[in-house]
Amino acid sequence: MNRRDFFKGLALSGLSVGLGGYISNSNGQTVYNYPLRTNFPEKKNLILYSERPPLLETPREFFDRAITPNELFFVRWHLSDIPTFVDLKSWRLKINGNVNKHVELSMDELKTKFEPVSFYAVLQCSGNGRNFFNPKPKGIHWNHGAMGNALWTGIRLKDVLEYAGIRTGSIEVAFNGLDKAPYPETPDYIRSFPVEKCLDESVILAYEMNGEPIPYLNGFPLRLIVPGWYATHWIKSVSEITVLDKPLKNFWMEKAYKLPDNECECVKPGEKIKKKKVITTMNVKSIIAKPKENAVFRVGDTVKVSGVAFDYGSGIKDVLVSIDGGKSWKRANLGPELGRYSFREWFIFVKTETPGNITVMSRAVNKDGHMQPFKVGWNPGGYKWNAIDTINITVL
Amino acid sequence: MRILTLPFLFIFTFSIAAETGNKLNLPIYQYKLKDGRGRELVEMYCQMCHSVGYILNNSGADKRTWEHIVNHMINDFKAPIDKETAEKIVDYLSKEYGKVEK
Repeated sequence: MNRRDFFKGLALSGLSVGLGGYISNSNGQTVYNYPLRTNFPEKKNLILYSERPPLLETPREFFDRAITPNELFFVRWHLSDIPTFVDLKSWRLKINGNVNKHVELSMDELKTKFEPVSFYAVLQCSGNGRNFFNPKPKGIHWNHGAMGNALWTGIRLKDVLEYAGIRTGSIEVAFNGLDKAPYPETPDYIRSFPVEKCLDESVILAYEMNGEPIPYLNGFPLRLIVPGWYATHWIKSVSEITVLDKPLKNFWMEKAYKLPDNECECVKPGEKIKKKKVITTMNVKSIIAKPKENAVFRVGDTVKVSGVAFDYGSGIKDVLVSIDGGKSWKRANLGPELGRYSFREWFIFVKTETPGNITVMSRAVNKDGHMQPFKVGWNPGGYKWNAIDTINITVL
Repeated sequence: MRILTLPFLFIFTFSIAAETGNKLNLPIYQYKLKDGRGRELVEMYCQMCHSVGYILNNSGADKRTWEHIVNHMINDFKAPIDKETAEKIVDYLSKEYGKVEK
């Protein structure tokens, strides 16, 4: 949707835009255009798929920079009763289960008892890019914007768990946030992963995002950060950590966020998965932020093609760009390295020589030698989309 | 009876919560569902837990897919929808938001 369509849509639906670009539509006016590009509390200019629970996507053009500002950072909740106010005076992080002592820690205690750490890391929804699969799997049809990169500051999960004392026989740790379903019988969003992963130095409990308290919509006051792994594990508004001596069983662990457990992590469209595994590590990916899809240029123009690239933590080695449909590739310039879990900016200048339609492609290669494929196998969840990114431009 | 009163109970508590000075005021976007037989059931049962966006986002799904989605809501998310109502909801969704024949 371009700017003109957006305002046309507003005019049709009788909505008004205030000085801050705010849509006054809370009084029951009807919205016709979907999805709406809108401002939301704490956010601006995002694509709104749902407001209850909030599902907001970052438009493609903002991925020309390594750091995603908090107000442009995507939002995704599973259950619609989300925390909209947390009083830090009474808020406590509970650590219980198979530990030496059950512990309740205030935010001040978390900040003073443990060593703070900071690093950049990409947060990406498992279903980011689902819209590019054919046929489209069920689920929200995210394009590229269910991802973002931020500077996370917090304390190591390992330090907090050791403070409570993990007892022998512990196999995994479960995390619960403040979000709830409106209907009490709906399974609460609680997830677990193995103790060994929890002892990884890079797994932290963050209280800051890009140097500010984490916005409510991104998991205030404390969010689990699992760099290199998909967002399903990054529990928002964490309030309870439970050490377990047997596997957690609930809908989310047994049925949701599963991939085919085979080499290609894929099945034929429509086919059921025979053997399943939990989705964990991200794959190598680059996306083109600019120019916009179907942008028009003139012969002789110099076009800056730019975007970001990332992987699961080996780091980006190269981003290759093609303007001839993948026949030949040129190495793009890479921006500064902000850590192995971060977005890496890339750009290249392309001179338009002849009129016609041009297909621009980007392909990232990581330090382990993995690269984006031309084609991605289908899976029922529509997870892990990472095909070579493609946009079309026209030269007149 | 218990089932029928639940959605209203939810709307009631939701509007109270909005008035107790919460720091973050979440807006409500009133997307209009197409008129059609069963629309009020969708509003009552589906919108109890989520906004219309979830429906619009799956617009174009065939009847089998809508059936699958509604069963997913009932079996996995425990939506209190009886079989007869579920069928009416699937009929509405696949008629008004179903696969477009080309």
